[in-house]
Amino acid sequence: MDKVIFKFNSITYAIKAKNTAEGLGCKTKIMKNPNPKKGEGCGYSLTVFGNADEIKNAFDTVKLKYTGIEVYK
Amino acid sequence: MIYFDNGATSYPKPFSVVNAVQRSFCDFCANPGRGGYNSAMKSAEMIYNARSAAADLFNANTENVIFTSGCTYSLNAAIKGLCRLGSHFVISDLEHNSVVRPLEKLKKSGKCDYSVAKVTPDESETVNNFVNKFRKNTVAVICTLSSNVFGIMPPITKIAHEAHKNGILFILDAAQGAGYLPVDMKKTGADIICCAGHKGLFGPMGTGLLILSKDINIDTLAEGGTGSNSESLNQPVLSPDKFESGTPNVHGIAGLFEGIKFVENIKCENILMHENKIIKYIFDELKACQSIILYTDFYDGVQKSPVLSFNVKSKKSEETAALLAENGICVRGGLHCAPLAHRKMGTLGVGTVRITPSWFTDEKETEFLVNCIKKIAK
Repeated sequence: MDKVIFKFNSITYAIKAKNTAEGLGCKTKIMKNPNPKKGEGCGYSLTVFGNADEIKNAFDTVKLKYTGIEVYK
Repeated sequence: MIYFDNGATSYPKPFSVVNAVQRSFCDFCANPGRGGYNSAMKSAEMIYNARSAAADLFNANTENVIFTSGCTYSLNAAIKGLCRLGSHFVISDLEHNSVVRPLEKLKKSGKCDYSVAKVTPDESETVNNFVNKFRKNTVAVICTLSSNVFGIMPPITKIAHEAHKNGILFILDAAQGAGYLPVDMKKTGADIICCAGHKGLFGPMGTGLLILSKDINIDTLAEGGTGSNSESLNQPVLSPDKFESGTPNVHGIAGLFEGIKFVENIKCENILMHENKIIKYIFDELKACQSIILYTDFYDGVQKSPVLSFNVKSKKSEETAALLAENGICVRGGLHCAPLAHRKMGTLGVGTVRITPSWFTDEKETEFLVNCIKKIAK
């Protein structure tokens, strides 16, 4: 199981992503982006536990726009 | 109080709406989309779920549902957001002042022009009247779902189709009708839907929706803090953040969310059937009175929404409305902020008395209303 952290500028997209990931049966957690890089001020991060490729595909299908991704295998 | 002014705002609200607003002061006490602590996230989740429920009701995408303070703000945002120097708009001759006044101001300031297309009982003729007003610089058609005074329903799907053929956007003013007339964004072909949250959707006053079908290049009416992209001095480009600067009306949205769920639970079709039954009963009763003028015919085969305007021959509309108010009946006389519609129907001088029922209107109230009108008309 991968630990995938997605970054979003907007809470709306972060919650949409959370619901999408939970629809795949993944565990999730939303929090304020704890380590914002330049241009990521006031964003949210979504941590998802699951298959990274499957989650990314699901997000692409619903046209979810995230600003960053970190994958921990 | 016997309430027949649901066209202005719906009353009563479902208990679930009242309770949700009351509870929201404790349940959703933190500012959504700003902090990351639990109560802020709880507010944000509720707002998202409300957005998602509205999207489902109108068959739109969740992120393209924008919460506003009402339909007037939504229409202003759409009109002023699309207006460029030299733009042209086409509107129907039934439009509310929330459409006409922004356009008139833009016209007087030399920024845009607009034309008015006549709606007739013949759908093809109406569509042609719109098409004949199209110009090379026409950016959008704005048309009501249902006249707020006479219940007349222009053939919106056909008008939208013709607008698209000419590269023109279609803005639907669903202030009157959303909640009891099913509105499917994709089926109607609307590019933008503007509607009130406090009428047919049973939300609190001060709530409204602006719904976009896709990423349309609309400029913002207000800019400010959105809780996103905060280090940038520029407004975010993605909806809904782009259009929702400042703290949202969390308590209003909590109520609107329950109102939408109430409508979804009963179904628009059933609400419409109930309201039509009431309006047809009133129509039948008043039609038999020679001293009463009715302006629409519910049996002429032309689709109408459950809105009925009338006058007592010897009285001005405000006078009749005041006499009904003495009997505890709430109806609205006058021009209903729709002078174009009144000019069209020849009632600009006297106005009309408007009756708009709701899901909560019952037969006993309706009989009492009819009896009072008959007494006044004697």
